[in-house]
Amino acid sequence: MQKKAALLLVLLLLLAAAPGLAQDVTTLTWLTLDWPVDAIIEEFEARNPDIKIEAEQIGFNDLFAQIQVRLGAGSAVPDVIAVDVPLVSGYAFRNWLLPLDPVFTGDEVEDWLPAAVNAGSYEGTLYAAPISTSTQLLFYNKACFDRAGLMPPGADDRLTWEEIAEIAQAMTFDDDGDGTPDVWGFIWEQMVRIYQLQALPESLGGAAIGDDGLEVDGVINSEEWIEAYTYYYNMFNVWNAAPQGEEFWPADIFETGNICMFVGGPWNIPRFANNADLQIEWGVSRHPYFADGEPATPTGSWHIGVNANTENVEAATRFVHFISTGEGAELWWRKGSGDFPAQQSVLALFATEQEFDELPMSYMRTAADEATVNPRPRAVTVGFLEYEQILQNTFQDIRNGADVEESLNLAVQRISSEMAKYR
Amino acid sequence: MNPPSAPARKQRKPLRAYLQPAFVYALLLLGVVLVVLPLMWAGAASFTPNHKVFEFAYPFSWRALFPVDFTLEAYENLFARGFGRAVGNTFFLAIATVILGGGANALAGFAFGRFEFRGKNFLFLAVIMLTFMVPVDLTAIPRYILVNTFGWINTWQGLLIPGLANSLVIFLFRQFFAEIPQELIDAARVDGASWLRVLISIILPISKPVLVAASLLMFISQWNAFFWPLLVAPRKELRVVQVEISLAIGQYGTIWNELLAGSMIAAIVPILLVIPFQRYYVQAITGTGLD
Repeated sequence: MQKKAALLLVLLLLLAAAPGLAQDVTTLTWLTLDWPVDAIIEEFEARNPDIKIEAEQIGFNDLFAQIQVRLGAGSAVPDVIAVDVPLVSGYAFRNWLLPLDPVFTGDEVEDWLPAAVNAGSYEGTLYAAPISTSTQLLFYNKACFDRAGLMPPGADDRLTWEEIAEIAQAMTFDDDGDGTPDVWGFIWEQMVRIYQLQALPESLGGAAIGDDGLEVDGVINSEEWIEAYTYYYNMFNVWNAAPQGEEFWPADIFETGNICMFVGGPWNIPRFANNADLQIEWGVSRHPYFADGEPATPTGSWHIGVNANTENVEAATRFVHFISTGEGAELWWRKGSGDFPAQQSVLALFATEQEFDELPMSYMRTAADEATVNPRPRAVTVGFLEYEQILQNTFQDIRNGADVEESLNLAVQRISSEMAKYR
Repeated sequence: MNPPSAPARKQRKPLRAYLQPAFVYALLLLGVVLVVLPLMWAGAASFTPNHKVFEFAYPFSWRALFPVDFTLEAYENLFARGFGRAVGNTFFLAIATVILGGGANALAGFAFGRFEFRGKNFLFLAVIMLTFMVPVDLTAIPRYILVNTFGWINTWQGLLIPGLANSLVIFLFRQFFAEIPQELIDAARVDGASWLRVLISIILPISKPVLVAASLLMFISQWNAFFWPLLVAPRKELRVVQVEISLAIGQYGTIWNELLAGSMIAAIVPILLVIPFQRYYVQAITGTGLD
């Protein structure tokens, strides 16, 4: 009887203590793009039962304004944010991001591509951990080469921009004779964005910005820039091998056979490979370069950072660590954004995975290799948003016929006046 | 007797009389074509598989105005990823705004239109008219800070309450109420009606045009709202129509047929509302001197 009473007492005590024994669950908000996030969240929550992740997913075009307003207002949420890598300096300068150096071991940092580590750091401190990287390839329609009587390049070939200019003109066709081509020879996928166009002057030895991260005079109106964007100008205005006007997605028009070549990201490989109705035969080769210069390929992608005002520092850094290193990083590549991983150990999987043994998915191996050779990150500057927007307008003007030197000098004036506030 | 042909010759209109309307109709037709063609393309593209949207649109041919390989996939995909919930959310918000905002704005409009109080003109000109002219995006950061302080991020109240007071609607009510003959109000007051009673039983029943116009304005502005809902309630469960549509524009491309299918649905609702009530709307707006 006494034993039963003691047992009952123990049970009652346990019940009373139960709420205290239960783990407190921290809820993290993760502001991110419209990626498939369920798998990574599920795995992280299974390994960390004390943390729950709520994803706030929004479109690419709207993420930047969202971050500016919410972090600019000093809000404690979102706890974790997706950061487009060229904006790391600007966010760090404004004290919006938590320094992340103590979160990672030396081996983990070494596993990331060096260009990604540099781009995720500001004044020597890591503020956003890389979760993906990017690269660019030349995509082409084989039928265009046949029609022009030319040989298409192999996947490992690297054409020069001079060759591209000749081929593009030979592959521009005005079938109905109305003076406007029906099939265009060439276009850049992001036709007016610095991400893709910076590789042009860099191939000629030009820099993206001055050493102090603010000076543009003598840099973006240098000889290399003028030569590079004269090439760009000629493509649209002299050789008439690329369409002017509004921006559009070249891959959409490439699929209909009305664009013969475009420089674009490896995300187009699965897109074309999985399109069962695609009528065209296509191939890729490496990113072009100027004959007198050196290969330079755009790079940079998404990083992940922690809001400096978060009330959940430990939980937030645990999630950032998980998604950017080891098994978490691999899972994010396989079932998350699908972008190229920034971890060399995960990038190496392209060489061994069976999925990439055969064409056209084997082009991903070319891309994985291209991501590690000649990668050129965008300008590291606290004023990247202004720098990018002004150059975007400049490229649009040049594309539609404005004088190259005048346009670049005007861009120098505008950017310099914007950068003055950071000096 | 006049020869039979004489009166006929007299009635014949000069050539100019025929040419002028023909020219006007030709211009109008051109206008219709310019407005309708892009809409027709958008409608057709929403029933076309995504990778075929540009098959006849670039370069443009008349076949682009009809669906290629007719499919409902865009609409199915759209609803599979939660567009239905977004439509429901937006309807709820828009109707709640019309009811709650309509009440609040009518009361404010009544006060400005019929009462004399100290600071009335200052309040009307400096607060109502000024906020009427300031773009909403400009006040997004302070509003966000306020709503964040209340703990209303990712809540219905965060979505709804900041949009209830609408200076344009207050202005509309004020202009309309100010025109109502004083005798009507006096008669009701003599009979012992309270001010609220006067508003509800005397003023509102004869204010159909302004009620319709104000409701349409509030409904459509909430139906089309994008930046504020995106900012204050980015969680999936609280997404509104425009935010859901924007997700079709991705980093590496746009799902055109879903973007256009969503836009078609988003456009139909205001069109269906405006057409039957157009008469009242025009009447109320012209009455304010805003036209």
